[in-house]
Amino acid sequence: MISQLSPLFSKVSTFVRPEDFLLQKGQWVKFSSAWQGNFPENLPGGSFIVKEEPVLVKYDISRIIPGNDFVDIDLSNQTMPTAAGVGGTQQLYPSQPGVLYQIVLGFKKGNYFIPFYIPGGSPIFTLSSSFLTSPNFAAADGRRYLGSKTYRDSPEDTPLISLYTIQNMPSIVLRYYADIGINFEKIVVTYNVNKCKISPIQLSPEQEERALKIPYYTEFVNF
Amino acid sequence: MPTARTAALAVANIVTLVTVPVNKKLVLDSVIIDNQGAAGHTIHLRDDFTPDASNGTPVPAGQTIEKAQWTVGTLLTASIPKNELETKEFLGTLRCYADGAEALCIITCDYHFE
Repeated sequence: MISQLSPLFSKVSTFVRPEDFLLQKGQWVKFSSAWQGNFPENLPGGSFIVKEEPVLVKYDISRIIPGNDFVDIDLSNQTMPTAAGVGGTQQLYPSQPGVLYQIVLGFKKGNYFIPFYIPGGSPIFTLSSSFLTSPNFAAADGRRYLGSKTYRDSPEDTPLISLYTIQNMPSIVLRYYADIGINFEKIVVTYNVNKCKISPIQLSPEQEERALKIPYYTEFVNF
Repeated sequence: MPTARTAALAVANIVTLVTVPVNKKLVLDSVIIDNQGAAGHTIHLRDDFTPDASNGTPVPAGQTIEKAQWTVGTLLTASIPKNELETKEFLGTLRCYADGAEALCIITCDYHFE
């Protein structure tokens, strides 16, 4: 569900650009066998091909919040917002089967950090020790920022973090957390949604090795 | 580069110079205060916005944040250098007021969005 390229990629002075890492027509993707839930039967461990040219849609979600405070941004389609855009979830998942959204995150510069939760309330980037199983926002030490991403991890002009969403996935929640020592911060994240229509395909073991692997969130935790 | 310009007005008639887009911040590139009036004036730049609902403040109140002020004597022009401005970010609405109205005191701001 999540991949992050090394920041070194943003400094490579060749003809490779971050845009080159977006899925294109004809590319293969392989879902891990851990994709268990309300998904099509052929999804766990299944291989798929991007059958048409993807369409890239850009969407910004911003919040102005006080220092040392946060707001949770739920990317799922679980609850429709009002017509005025109040409440609800962000509706960034496909609403039909056979569609994969590759969402490349671009963080604008600012004094904030973003922990990731899948589903809401369950942090993803943690460690196995009971001391570090969850960020502790009341701590005065590094536990406060455990596993969080900042704008340096995926800058707006060279985004390096990708999320992969399909219909009926659990919620991915980004916690926009304004850092201490500031009055207010406007946190702006650009969601570059690469919309891909996918269809099942049979791949040889050698071809599967070259497919983009899409792990499930459960493979990020408990070790 | 966009420019916003106003004559000095008292706070009761505060001027909205720029409304910042929801997905951007405003950063000043230059501020020039040309005071051809008979007295010195203090010019204020302010950032007005209403924060979004957050965990600690589910019903936020509007905010007015004083960001900068400069006092310019009569018949003088102040040109504020970029290095003094580039750290001043405006989140909501850039507003300008003075300690008193003066039609001959003109404030010109160049800015860009990030």
